Order: sequence, then C-alpha cells, then structure tokens
Amino acid sequence: MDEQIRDEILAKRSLIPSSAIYVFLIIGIIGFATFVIQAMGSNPNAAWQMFLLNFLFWTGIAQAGIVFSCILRITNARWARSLLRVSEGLGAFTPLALILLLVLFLGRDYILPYATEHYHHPKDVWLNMKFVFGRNVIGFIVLLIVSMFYLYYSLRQDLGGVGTKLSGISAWVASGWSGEDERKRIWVKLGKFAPAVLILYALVFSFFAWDFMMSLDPHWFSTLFGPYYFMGSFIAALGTTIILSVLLRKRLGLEDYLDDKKYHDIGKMLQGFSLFWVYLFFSQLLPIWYANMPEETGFVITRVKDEPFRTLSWVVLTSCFIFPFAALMPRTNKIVKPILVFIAAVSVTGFWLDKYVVIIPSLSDSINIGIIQILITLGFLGTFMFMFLLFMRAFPSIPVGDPFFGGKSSGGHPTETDMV
Amino acid sequence: MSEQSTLTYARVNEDVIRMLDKPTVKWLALFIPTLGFVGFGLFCFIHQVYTGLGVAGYRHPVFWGVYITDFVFWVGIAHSGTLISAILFLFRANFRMSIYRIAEGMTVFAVLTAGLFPIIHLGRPWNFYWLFPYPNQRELWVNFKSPLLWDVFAVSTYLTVSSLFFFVGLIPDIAAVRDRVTEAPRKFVYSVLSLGWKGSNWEWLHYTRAYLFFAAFATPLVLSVHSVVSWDFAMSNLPGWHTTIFAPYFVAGAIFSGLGMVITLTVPIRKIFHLEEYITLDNYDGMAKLIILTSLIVGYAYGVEFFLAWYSGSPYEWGQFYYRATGEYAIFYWIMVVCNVVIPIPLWFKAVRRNIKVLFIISIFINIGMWFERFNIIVISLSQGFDPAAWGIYMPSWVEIGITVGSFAWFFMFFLIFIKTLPAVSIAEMKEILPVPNKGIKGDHAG
Repeated sequence: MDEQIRDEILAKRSLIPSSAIYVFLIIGIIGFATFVIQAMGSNPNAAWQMFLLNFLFWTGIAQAGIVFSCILRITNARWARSLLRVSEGLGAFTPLALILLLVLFLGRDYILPYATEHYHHPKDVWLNMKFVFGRNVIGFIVLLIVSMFYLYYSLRQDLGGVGTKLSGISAWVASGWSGEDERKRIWVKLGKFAPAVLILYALVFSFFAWDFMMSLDPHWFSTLFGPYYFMGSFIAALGTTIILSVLLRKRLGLEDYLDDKKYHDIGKMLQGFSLFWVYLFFSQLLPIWYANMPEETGFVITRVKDEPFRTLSWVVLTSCFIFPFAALMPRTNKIVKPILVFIAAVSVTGFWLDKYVVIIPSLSDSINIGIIQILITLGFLGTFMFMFLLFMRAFPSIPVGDPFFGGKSSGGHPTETDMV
Repeated sequence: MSEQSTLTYARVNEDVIRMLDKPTVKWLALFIPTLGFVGFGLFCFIHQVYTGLGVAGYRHPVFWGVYITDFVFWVGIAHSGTLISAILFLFRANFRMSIYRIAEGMTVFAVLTAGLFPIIHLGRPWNFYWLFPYPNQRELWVNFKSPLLWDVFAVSTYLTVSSLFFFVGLIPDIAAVRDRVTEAPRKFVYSVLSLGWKGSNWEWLHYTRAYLFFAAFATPLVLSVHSVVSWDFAMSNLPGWHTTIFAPYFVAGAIFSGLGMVITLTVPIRKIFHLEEYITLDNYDGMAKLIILTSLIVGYAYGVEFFLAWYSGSPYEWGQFYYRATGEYAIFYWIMVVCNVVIPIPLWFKAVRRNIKVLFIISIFINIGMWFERFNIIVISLSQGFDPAAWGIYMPSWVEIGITVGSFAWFFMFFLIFIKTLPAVSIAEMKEILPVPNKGIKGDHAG
C-alpha cells in the first residue's frame, strides 16, 4: 500500500463542504416534516404512498451499493476498484433505512391492504401482520449487521495504521490495528462476508418485493417479481454510483484515480444492465400476456393499457432501457462526464418511476405528483445525500488499502476491449 | 504440479499441436464404441420411423417426454460455450483462456445434438422442413404465435452464430497448425481453413475488433436462446408451467449444466494430454465459483416457484407442486434438488474447488440433476394438469432411452473428432497471458 497516496486521499476528505451537508440535512428535514404533517393531517394516504415508494427506492439503491462493492470483491475485479468506496458510500443510508422500515409499519392501514382486510388460507398465514413485520424486520436487521461488518472490514483495510491521525468514527474503525498481517486476515474476512451480503440481499429484498409491492394487489403473483425489484435496484445503484463519483471526483480532484477508462467501463456496464433490465421486464410481461389468465392480466392491464398509467409505463421503458441503451452506444457518451451523468440520471429517475408504476396503481386510481409528493421525495433524497456525504467526510473516498487498488491511473490491464 | 510454470511460446505451439498427432490406440478404443452407440441410437430411430411414434412411451396426457427433455438438456449444455467465450471475454476474466475452445466446440456439437430432437419427436420426421416459413405450393404457413416456432429461429440463429464464433476464434490457430504440418492433404485442408492468415499487424487489428464485436453480439444470444426454450413451457397455462421466472431461471440452469459438462469434458482431456499447465487449478476454481452462483439462482427459482404456488391460493398451482414433491415422480424431483442445490454446496470450500477428482464427481451429478430438472418440468407438469380425468403416468420406453444414449454418443463422437483435428486449447490466447519471450529473462512475470 502506498502511504503517500493514502495521506493524500485522507487529506481530501475535508474538501467535502460542510455547507452541502447542512443543505441536504435541511432538505431532508423539510421533506420529513411535510410527510409528518400530511400523514397526521388531511391526506395520510398520499403521504404514506410516497413514503412506501421512496423507502423501497432509496433502500434498494443503498443496499445495492454495498452489493456492487461485494461483487467487485468476489470477482476480483480490478477495473472498477477505485469506484468501490463510492458505491459503499450509498450504503451509509441503510442504518437509517431500518428506522424507516419500522416507521413504515405505523402506516400499515393506509398502504398494506392486508392490514385491514382478511384473506382466506394460505394468505392469512403469509400476510399476517405479525409475520410480515417479523420476517421483514429481522431479515433486514441480519442483512444490516452483515453489511456493517463488511463495511467495517473494508474501511479498516484502508485506515489500518493511521489511527492516531484520525478522529471520530474513522479512528474507531482504525483502532487496535495489529500491522500488515491483519490486512491479509481482513482480505479473507471480506471474502466471507461479501457472498453472505449477496445472498441475504437477494432473499430480504425478495421479501420486500413480495410484501410491500406484489401483495398490494393481494391476488396477483409473479415468480419473477423479487429479481425484478432487486436487479432494478442494482442498476439504479450503478447509475447513482456514476453520478456521485463524478461529483466527488470534481470536488475532491480524484481525476488520477477515477480516469476515463473507469467511466468507459462502468458506462458499458450500465448499458449492458439496462438491456438486462428490459429482459427481465419482457420475461415477466410475455408469459402473462400470452397465457391471458384474467387473475394475472388485471395487474398488467391497469399499468400498460389503461390511462393514466399507460403513458407513465412508456416513460419508464424509455428511461430505463431505450434511452440509456441507445445513448451509451458511442464511446464519447461514456467518458464525457456531463453526458454520462445525464444519462445515468435519466436511468435512475426511470427506476423511481418504475416503482411508481408498480406500487401506486394498486393503491390509487390516478397519478398525483404535486408539491407534497415532490417534497417527500426530496426529503428522502436529502437524507440519502446527507448520509452519503457524512460517510465520505469520515472515510477515504478511494479504497487505498485494497490489494487490487492499482494506484494512480492504472488498474485493470489494457486490452483490445479498451478501444471500443 | 507445484513447480513454477515453464510455458513458453514455443512450448505452447508444440504441446497443443502434439494433441493433433495420429490417433493412438486409446483414442480408437474410445471412438469405436462411441460409433457403436451412435449406431444403436440410429437403429432405435429407424425402428421408430418404421413402426411409428407409438414405440416411444407417450401416453395420454404426456406427449412431450424424453425427446423434449433431451432437446432442452443439450441446448442447455450449449450455453456455457458462449458464456465462457463471449461473456467472460467481455468481462476480461482470464480464466477462460485455456478452456474456451473446448467450451465453444462443446457448444457447437451440443446444438447439433439438440437440433436432432425436435425432428426425432415429429410424427413424420421427413417433413421437418415444414418448420421453415417460405412460400410453397402446399400453401402452408408456420404459426408465428407458437413458441415452438420461435425455437426454430432461436436455435438456428444460435447454431449459426456459435459456429461462426468458433471458427473465427480458430483462424490464427489453424494457421499455426498449417505452418507445422507437412503431409499434403492435411496441409491443404488447414491452408484453406486458415483463410490465408499470415499474422500481420493489420490482420490482428481487424481480427481482435471482429472478435470483440462477435462477443458483444453473441452475449444477448446466450440469454435469448434459452429464454425462448423456456417459453415453450412457460407460455402454456398449465399449472407448474405458467410462471414468469422461467426465462432467467432456464438461462441460469443452462449455464449451470454447461459448466458441469465443461468440467466433465476437460478433466479427462487435461489428464490424457498432460495439459496441467494450461488448464490450471485457478481455471477450475473460477468455473466452480460460477457453478455456485448459478446453483444458487436455480435453487432460488425452485424455492420461489414452490412458495408462490402455495401463496397464490390456487388449488391447481399448489396441487401441481405438491404432486411434484410427493407424487409418483417424487424420486426424480428430489434427485434434481439434491444434485443441483445440495451437492454443489461443498464448492463453497476452496479445497473442494481445487480438488480435481471431487470436482469431476460433482460435475457428473450436476449433469444428472439438470437432465432430471427438464424431465420434471416437462413430464410431471403434463401428467397432472387441470383435469383429474386426464391424468396419467408416462415412463420412457427402451427406444427413447436408446436414442438418448445415442445422442450422448453422437455428441462425444464429434468431440473426439474435434480434439484430433483442431487445436483444443487456444494457442493465440494462451500466449496473451504468457510473459513475452525475452533473451536472458526467464518467467519473470509475477503478476
């Protein structure tokens, strides 16, 4: 590990402006205040619907950020090593997500139809409120603990040995460092925690997808629904990683570590996964359309054939697949940062709208995006960014201690694939 | 072999081209019985054509049986070829280098095998060309609404692209063989196949670009082909079949079985031709990790299907799955679960992933498990549909078993010819991961 690079990266932390952190905190507070006022006041339905939607969207991105880092570690990928920490930073929101999950259950009467209605066997077993609460909360806590261990070791790998120069949470992470031997032990531990995070992610987020999205229409079911949600979140996390890393790169001057090649590669990855998303979308749609069974088509017809949601469905398809896939075709669009950020932003927004199209038609007959909805969404965005910036302020923005981190402007072997 | 790798450019050429030497007695001892089994399969087929499809075990209501199972099984085997050669190429995973040629060859031969079964399954196999849409005097037009027809297109596209991909990757290696061989007929054949390859800079430039584009185009095919195959089943609204997860689940299952078959094939080849330095333990480690991943996806799909059948509250869905796990065919269901989900679990341990013998045994169980998966999906679902008056039991007849055995022999026959005629390890790509030859410096390449 290069001590000089580490010191340089650690020094860059203070370049993250406190003002930005406060601004996002304020936005977050305004958003949640709006939510509380609405939920207590005249329009609790709309407030709770937005809460549910944003909870699923932002929690998905946050957890998938950690998952992306785990995938890079499992596959020994060198190409995006320096983006690993930014994607882990998305995960800073997950502890808060646990609290939000608990809050979500306060509004169960407004958003979860099975909280007020009783269904016959076997749905009375699975959609029993106590069981729903128990499995989701316990599942998420286990996932959170494993993820936090993973993050802890990932950070400790970078911070080990400079504990005395640090303060606050980063000093706590670095404390008790026993030398270079420990780095090897951490490498082994990360190799064990990473697959555990992946498996739990698929499992717990399938529960989320079934219990908070699919069962809002209690008679509809689709076996692909879990993967549709957790893979969608993963792609949204890729987009978010691109956007935030470009912003950080500019602010902290990380051009030497996050060079064009990285963006070229992750741009290709986003493009490939947008194709994968439409594959999932189509695989789910086609058997339902073809078999034409009334209990299944109802769900789809509301969303893709009847207004008002029909137009929105096309917007989702365009912004999650058609636009990113076509726009990421030329090499220029993958490496010119403003263009890439724009494309990623369209994709991420598309995934937010995707949640809207999936969730809201089960609860409401109309599209209602007014000031309240926007403020609540901004509240989540503000909180998410607040946590992310706090994380980046405390920890090095580049995984300097990772054995596969290639140092400045290298990492990954130049091959013929770089030419496209 | 724990000693440090002594591979050099020259040795790669020698070792790989040595595999193409005159067939030994051992090779013939394998090849001749293989031909015998192919002959037996052919005999069964002729018997079936002569007597009628009644000699297959088809019984009401099961009219898709072992033939369709074999079809899906072989299409599945064909998958890891393109996965290893195209997807892993795009992800720059170096562990593909030594095995991708074998995997690609396997793909082509497996598709050739799979393509036989829809024809064998036909009542009048001599009319197979009716599957293709073209203006004709019969005034027949194929049914584009049927997933079976999509299959015709998906599989023929896959065969075309994977053969081309296989051939393009071979060109520089065929040229290397051409430069070595001296006997006139062989030299001529390799000269024609190498398309006049000289290995100039200009040629490599275009070659690598072409290869990359091929890889990028072949990748979506991996997903599409088996998705279309899965829709042969998922599009029906028969309980146990009509389910949305089928496409990704089939793709994962196909890659899973394909990797199993790659290991089954490469382990003996590695041993017989002493390729320990080429196909390394790291390569097997990488494949075993992919097996874990795909096994988990397949396991997830088994679980979710079962769970949602229960959750749906539909007595037909649940009845079907309950029957799968407890009915007449339960033994096959549990063979599938054990082989595909339980037996790969030891691969989580590094020591197992690097133990070739254990890996070989696990890979054989995977092949068995995946064959039964397709059998279960097809036969169990069909034998208990919506209407209890139309339930029935199907068991394969000796003709079907004979043709299945024959199909394995047919596949191995192509494979045995392949390893004696074309370089089974990519000479050009192996050299990419070797240190550049340099006077006086030996193997100083600690990556």
